[in-house]
Amino acid sequence: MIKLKIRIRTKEPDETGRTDNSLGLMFWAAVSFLAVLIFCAIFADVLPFKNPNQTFKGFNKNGPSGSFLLGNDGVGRDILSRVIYGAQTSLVIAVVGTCIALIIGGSIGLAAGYYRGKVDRLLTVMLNTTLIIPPLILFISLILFLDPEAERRMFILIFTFALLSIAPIGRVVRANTMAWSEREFVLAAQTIGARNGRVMFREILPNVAPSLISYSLIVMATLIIVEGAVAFLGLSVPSPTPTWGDMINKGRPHLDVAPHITLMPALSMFLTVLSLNFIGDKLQEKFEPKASVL
Amino acid sequence: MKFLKRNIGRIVPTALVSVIFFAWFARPPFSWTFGLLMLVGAFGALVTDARYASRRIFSLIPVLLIVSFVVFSLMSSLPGDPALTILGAGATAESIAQLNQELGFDQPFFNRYGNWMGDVIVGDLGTSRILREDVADGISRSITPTLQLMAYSLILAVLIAVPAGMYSGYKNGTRQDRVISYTMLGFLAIPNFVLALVLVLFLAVGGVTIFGIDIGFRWLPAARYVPIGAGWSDHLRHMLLPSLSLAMGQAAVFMRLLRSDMIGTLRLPFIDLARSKGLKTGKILFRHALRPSSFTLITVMGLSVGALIGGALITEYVFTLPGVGSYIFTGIFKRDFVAVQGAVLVISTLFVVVLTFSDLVYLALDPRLKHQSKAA
Amino acid sequence: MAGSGNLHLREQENPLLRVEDLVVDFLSAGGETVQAVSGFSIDVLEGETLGLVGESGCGKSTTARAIIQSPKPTAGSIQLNGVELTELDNEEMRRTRPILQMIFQDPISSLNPRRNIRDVVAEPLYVWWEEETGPLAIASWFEKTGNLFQTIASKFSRPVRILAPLAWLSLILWFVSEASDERSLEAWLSWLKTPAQFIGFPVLFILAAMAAALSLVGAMWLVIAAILPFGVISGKFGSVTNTAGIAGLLVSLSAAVFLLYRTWSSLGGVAHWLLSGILLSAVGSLAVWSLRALREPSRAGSSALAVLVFMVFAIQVFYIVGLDGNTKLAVFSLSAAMDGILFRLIARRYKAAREHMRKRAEPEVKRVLEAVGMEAEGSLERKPHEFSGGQAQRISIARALILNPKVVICDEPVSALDVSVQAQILNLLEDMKAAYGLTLVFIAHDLAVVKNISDRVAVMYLGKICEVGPPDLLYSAPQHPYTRLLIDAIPRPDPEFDQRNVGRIQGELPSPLAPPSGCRFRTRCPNVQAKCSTDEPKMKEVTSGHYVACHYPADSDVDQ
Repeated sequence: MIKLKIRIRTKEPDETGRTDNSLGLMFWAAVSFLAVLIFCAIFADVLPFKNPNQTFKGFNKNGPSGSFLLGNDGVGRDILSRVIYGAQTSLVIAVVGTCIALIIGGSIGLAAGYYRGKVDRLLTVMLNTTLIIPPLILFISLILFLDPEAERRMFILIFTFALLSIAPIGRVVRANTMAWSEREFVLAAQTIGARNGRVMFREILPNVAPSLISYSLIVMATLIIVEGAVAFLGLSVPSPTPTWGDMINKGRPHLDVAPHITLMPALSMFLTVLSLNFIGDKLQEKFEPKASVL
Repeated sequence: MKFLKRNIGRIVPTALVSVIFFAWFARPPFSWTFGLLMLVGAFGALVTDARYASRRIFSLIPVLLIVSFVVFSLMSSLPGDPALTILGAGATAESIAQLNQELGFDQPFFNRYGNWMGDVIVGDLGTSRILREDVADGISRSITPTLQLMAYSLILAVLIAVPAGMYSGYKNGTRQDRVISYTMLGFLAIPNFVLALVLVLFLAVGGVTIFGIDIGFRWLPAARYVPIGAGWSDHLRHMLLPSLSLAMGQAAVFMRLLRSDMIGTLRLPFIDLARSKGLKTGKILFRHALRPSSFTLITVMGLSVGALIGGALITEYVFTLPGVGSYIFTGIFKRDFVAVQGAVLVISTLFVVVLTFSDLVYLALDPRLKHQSKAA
Repeated sequence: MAGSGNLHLREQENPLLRVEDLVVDFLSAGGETVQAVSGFSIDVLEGETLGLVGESGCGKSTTARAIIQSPKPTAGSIQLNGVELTELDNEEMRRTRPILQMIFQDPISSLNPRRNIRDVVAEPLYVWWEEETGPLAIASWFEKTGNLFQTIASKFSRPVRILAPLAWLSLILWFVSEASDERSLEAWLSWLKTPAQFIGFPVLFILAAMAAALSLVGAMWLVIAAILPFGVISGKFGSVTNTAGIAGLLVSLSAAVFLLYRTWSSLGGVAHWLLSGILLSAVGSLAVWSLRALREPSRAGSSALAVLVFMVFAIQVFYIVGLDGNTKLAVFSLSAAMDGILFRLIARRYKAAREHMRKRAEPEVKRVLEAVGMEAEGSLERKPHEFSGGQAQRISIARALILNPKVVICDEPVSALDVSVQAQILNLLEDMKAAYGLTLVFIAHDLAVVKNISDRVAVMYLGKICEVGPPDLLYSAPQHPYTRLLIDAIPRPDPEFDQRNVGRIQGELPSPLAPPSGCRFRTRCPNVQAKCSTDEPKMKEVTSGHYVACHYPADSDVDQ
């Protein structure tokens, strides 16, 4: 008698190849990393970090050591505290920018997906106009446009990023809204006599929200990268405020003797973005297994 | 005509490839090649769906108008007196006023816009006083390295993404798939300038020394640009690191898309049919599964031009390649508004045109994509 | 058969619902127009049940949607109680909706998956009660946010919570005292300039640039931009929705501030004061409106409140973000406490109104749920997916009935249910009809289902009417060949009966893009003659109340 080995798959593996239902070790690792980072960033002033702008003479370009956990940079400043304070900038810009984009893009997407027809065409055209200009160009132009003092740069950054994120978020919300408005409970709500605004915000939005949240995490990750790029080019918040991109740039001349000056901020940016991407992905799978990841 | 319509999906790629080959050997001016490619795409799209294609082509005009208007408004709203910048701090008030009048900066906004547009349409992007040359010359000189960088990156990205995506999709659920997926997820998280620096560190500068062990090589050059004219191998050696750093991010995106599409396609009944006929796995994957799985990928490739442009500019900065990026940045730092304005306009126009062009090509390849991109 | 003609309409009996020459066009994916309903007429008397049958694609569901004007039909008249529905504008139609309700085919899909049953059934009540008060759900948002802020603030230091009300007071006093001084007003506005500039920037860049170039126009824009949203919110501009109103207000306000600053320098003296007066009155009206809302929640007040809170919040965020490290934390906790107090104050007001509304609704909800045979106690907190198809449909019916409608349109309500459950739901509908005095329009594709429940049956085919009449007559002596074939196809539970002898309908439904000329049924009709392809049949009377649209109905002399 021939024995057949049959492997029955009761569950299809997900995006990363897992087959179980739990969120996974990696997920919680990512969450913990982000939690620690955010905590340190918020409470940076009260936690025992060294002054990020203080130069410690004689410690220039030292690698990681006992009192300077991530080493010192080109002029002797503590890299660890600079990384934490840099996190403040990046996180604030990413979070606030995403929130603004969520509000504006979400409303536009909801309206476009719900009303369809002319309204949809008009709003989609509006959304697409923001997509037309390559982001970097728009950003450079805006920076120049206002040539502002240091504090204002933060506002410009936030709003430019919000502007750039409105379109992707709007599209996702629109697609989701269109899918949900086909469902009969939306028609039922209209039949009862609810106003359009009420139907959009009380019936459709709660169903669109979960996948929207996971998508916005991915948007946040993208914003962190773009902010890093902009800071790298020297167009972000100016010194003395530390930013990750700027630190990476300043480490370039020392790449051969002291690579940690570049690597440390690069690593922290990488880990942050990776965690956000991962969490966003995982949540997206949980809420909407059929949704395309990108 | 019917023959054309039915076979357009095969004619268009053949035509595109032949244009590229022709350009390779005959070396006409770059704009001719580009124009020819556009024509092929437009032709293919018009044959497939004349109404939609002509709408797209005609919609280019208002879009380009808006782009030019926005660019011009932004640039002309910059603070600072251009004449003062050119003449330097010691200039007298009269000479500033005189120069302003000469350059036309004292005229009202719309007059200036009109004049500028008139010049642009004929191809005159102005003259940069700071660099002492025509902006158009400067741009055409610097656009070659940028386009080369973008092209190589795209090719590398596809070369990396397609095998990885196919293999990963095929081996879905196994450890190999997990390894590849996580790696690609990692590459998504690395900004291209960071990757560039890391590559430079480990492949060009010598790497790090951990506990006395050297990890790293000095194979490739860290900066500088060598044009094709000076020798292919040197040129490619210098372009390898920049292209690679730009390619990896795109490769990660492509690979994930291909993988998820591949997983879906491999579940379809016709794959089982092919397997039961006894076809080899490799053949199944490449000949039968790849084509239907690549739709999302192909649609996204057109959109990735935008990401490539931004990334290319940064990569040029890191590797000091004399491309459009460097041209723009130098212009910004030196307050050369005319140059920046012209360059930004060219890049934006290029971007819009390439987007439309790729849309048209896709339309010719598969009319179904029209509905997809409408919904997208 | 191609149902033209209105002979079967009963004008003299004052039908409750009257559909005449209904035409519904659709734009298909290929860009072509499909006519789903082509000149359909029917009427329903009060207390009657009309059964509407036909194959899939014949236009019956489309008719149902057209009756409730979702979407509006292309042509034709729909009269409800003498009121011409097609002539009502959106707002008037909305107000008419409570008397015309609908039950849908897919029971689970017709309930919002994220709401529990209590909210689903009570929603119609909330909708109409909140017309006056504005959305009371704000209460929970404000409460949660307020609590969050308070928690954040309290984590830092106790004194902060005591300081917070003082901070508010001093802020108001400062503003009032400084407002009269022109210079400080300018400073205030320049502080506002940057965030406002960017809120308006993406939308109004071109307009602002032009307006700045032509300052007088800019000033005009300012006035229009400031006044328009207020009109919208107070409902004077009809059917613009609240969302659009708020969005418009936000954009216009920021544009207003932007333009104000831009034109500031080009105007002097009186104009200065005029502009600042307008801006101050705008903000002032917002504040007054919001205060009134606090006293008694209302639609316009809620909107004004939301806008004001948004602005306060945004300004705080931007201010804090621009500060340097050490003061940031301190100011952040202070403003968190301030906001916490403000939000909780607002929440308390709204909460009271909301609890009141919930209490009012609960007995109604329970009553109607029991009426449809659901156990109220156990089901209230559960979500739709926890119920079976039949139960979900009962909930759907409960929701439709809670507003005491006059007409209920049932769009294939039992098609998705198991056969045993179908009977239960049909009986329930009959009971409800008797209890509430309803008029039903029952749409189905299954003739057997329709027979028992209807007082009158109409048969549709490809967007037109075939035959209409009392079910007994229709089923025992069908006049139209299509009706006859449909009835013959009903399986009979009789072991002696040989189904194979029954006539079959040939062929497939023709494409609605290109319907057959003359009588649309002719391509599948066993009795087709020459006349059928040239002339469209009109409705003619067979016996009292029984009409058919066919050139050669069963009782005529024709070789079969």
